[in-house]
Amino acid sequence: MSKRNILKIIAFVVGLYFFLEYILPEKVGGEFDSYEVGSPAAVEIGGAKQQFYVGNYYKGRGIIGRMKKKGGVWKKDPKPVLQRSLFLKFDQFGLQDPDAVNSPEGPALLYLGQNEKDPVLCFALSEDGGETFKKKGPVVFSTNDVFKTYESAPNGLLPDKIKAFAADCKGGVWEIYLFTMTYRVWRGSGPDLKHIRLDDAPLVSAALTEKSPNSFDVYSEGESPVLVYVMDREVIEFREEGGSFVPRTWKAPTGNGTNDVIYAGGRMDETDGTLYLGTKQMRKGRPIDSPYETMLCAVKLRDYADGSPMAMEMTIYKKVGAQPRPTYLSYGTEWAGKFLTVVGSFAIFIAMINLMLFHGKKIYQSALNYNAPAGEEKLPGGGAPMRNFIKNAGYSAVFLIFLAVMIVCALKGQTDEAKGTIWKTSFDFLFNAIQAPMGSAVFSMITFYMISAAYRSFKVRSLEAGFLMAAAIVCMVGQMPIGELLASLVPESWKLLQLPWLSSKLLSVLNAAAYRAVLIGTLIGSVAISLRIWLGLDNSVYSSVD
Amino acid sequence: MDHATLPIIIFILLFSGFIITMIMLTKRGKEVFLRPINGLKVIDDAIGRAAEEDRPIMFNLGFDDLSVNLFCSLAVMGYVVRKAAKLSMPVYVPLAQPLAYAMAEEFWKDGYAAMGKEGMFAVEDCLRYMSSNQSALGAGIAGWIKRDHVGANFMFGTYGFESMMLAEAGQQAGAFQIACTPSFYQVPFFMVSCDYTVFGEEFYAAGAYFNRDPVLTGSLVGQDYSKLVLLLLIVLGSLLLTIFQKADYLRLLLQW
Repeated sequence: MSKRNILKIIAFVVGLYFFLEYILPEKVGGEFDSYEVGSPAAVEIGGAKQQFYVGNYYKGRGIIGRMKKKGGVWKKDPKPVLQRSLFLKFDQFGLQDPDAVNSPEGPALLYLGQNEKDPVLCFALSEDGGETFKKKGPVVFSTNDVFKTYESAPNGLLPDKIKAFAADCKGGVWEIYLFTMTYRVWRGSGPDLKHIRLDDAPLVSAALTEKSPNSFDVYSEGESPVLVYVMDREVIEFREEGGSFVPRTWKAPTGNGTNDVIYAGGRMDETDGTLYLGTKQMRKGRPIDSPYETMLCAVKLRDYADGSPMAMEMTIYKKVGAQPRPTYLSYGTEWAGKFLTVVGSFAIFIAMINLMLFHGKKIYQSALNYNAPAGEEKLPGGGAPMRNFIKNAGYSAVFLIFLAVMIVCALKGQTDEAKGTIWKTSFDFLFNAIQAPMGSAVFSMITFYMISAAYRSFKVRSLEAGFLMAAAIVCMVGQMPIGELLASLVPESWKLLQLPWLSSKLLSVLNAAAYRAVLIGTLIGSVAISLRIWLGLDNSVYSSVD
Repeated sequence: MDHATLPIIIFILLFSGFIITMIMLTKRGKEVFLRPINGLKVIDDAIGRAAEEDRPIMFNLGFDDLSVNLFCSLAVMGYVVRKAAKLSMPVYVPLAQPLAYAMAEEFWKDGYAAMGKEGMFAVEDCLRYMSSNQSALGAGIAGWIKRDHVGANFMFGTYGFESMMLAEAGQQAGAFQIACTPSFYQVPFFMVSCDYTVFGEEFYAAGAYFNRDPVLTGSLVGQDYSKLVLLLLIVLGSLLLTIFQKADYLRLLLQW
């Protein structure tokens, strides 16, 4: 078998592997929460404790799962409780931050639906005692008694965008607390989740913390609400005292292997004073960028009101081990990526050797020429030997010197211990004071090239060149301040004479249409050549083999 | 890595079906018309002109690392090198990616060897890894073009802002320039500075353009059928959205 055929077979097998990996759905290869777990919320349904949490197949798409407590042990339901929907566009990109509440209509599950716009607070109700939940759409708010939703405002009239929420139902009256993007907390109440009337003024009108909390919950203590903010390493409770909210901070618990986690979010179960938390592992004081090491935990919060250190009570559900892959075949593609990185690193050496050979050869030849006795053949250039040497090999010498200096400074200056050393300073200087400004200087040269190119191309030699010139003038003037000024002199109804309007139409309609046409052609072209290479049909690619 | 959604799988299978079917049909002798691409037709003229003026040829491979685009460019480079080797001309290849360097070296050596001219030019003189930094790459190539007074400058592959520097340097050196790129936003710069510019899908046809084998022609016709399907879908979608304002579910279906 020829070398070319062997290569074609390898390309086919590797290509088939990648293709299968690409077309397999993400859920093949792991459970619905194989990538990440977090944001737990617990509730007692029918005398048994249930805990709802968000799990991900892979980055992003949140799905609500459930754990049930049986015989003192938490057990996970194999199937998710709620998933994103195709036709319910409020949660088409996933579900986040669930809160479970018992209500007269049955157990309710509230969540933030992710979509292409702002998050939407939605709810689902159970009609079979908490076994299954049926989506009921968005919760509807109002600041007066008119409950009206719009395409752009599925939650009704809200004062701000929702960042987090807390819900409760007591005596048939729903209470919803909204933590908004501007850090304000609004309270609303109503007989059902389609009619929640917000208070006239926010409960908290200014930010209580500088930093945005990872999660937010509210429980009642007597008549006054207690706000629970879960931050990275601490939990802060805000109690209303004399018209203002007073904080009480609980530091991250230590011991039981819990000193290396940060809190990713969670909710309070006020029936037994337990705070359920999603956590992320930490290493060297920073959260590890590996969501598969997340876990669900619970903390007894109220028991430590005397100020004793809080301790993690138990680990309910832990996701640790080999990193889950979105599909069974993903391991191979990841391995191929690493293999390419390694091969690429070796290729850099080859490229560097090529550069050193070229420039070294130049210096060597110039040096030979410099030392050549009078009368022997010299390199072109003429003039004095030293000037001749600099002219022929000066840049090469500078290149090799800086290559060596940069390599040494990078090797010695890019370590954790190098901070403050001469190597680190030199590396930063070479990078920030030489390479970056030189790059900017070269980039700025394009301006001159553009002017000379524009001068040539804007000569009206044909009808097409005339169109080009006219379009260019419209676009240029339309985006200048003078374009706005000229447009203000034209009546509003004469749109065609307003250059900014014309310019925007040229760019967003004509140009965009042409761009999409070219893009479609390019993408189909790339599919075609990929197919030809994969199936070994395109011999031009394999021409260097054999 | 993102994974295919159901509509994407359907489209991939549909387009692949068109392309493979048309390749099979043309292999069995079906006659198809292939529109001539001027920018690719004049490659021989550019090489010939550089040979007449005794000026070297430069072939830029753009910023592509190991990718389909690089394979396309390398296929054309192989053709140019063979033609130049026949006329004992040097072909300079500046490179931006180390991995591309290793591959280009093979194609370059093979081109000269195919014409029995191996060893005529030193590899390190003709193939040079410049830099993966765009500014350095642009400045380096522009200097090379002007110093060596390049006679024909081919720019194939993906480019960023350095396209203008390369093309204008070639223009100022009086080189015959042909650009062929899938980078849409660089097309205007190439248009104003080059003698011929090929862009979009024609870039992918370039690799196999020089031998009219049925695989290429069939593949191009298959691509056209695929585009026709997309065009019909665009028209249909526009009409549905215009007539039924609530046809939002079509968009949702495609996003799924």
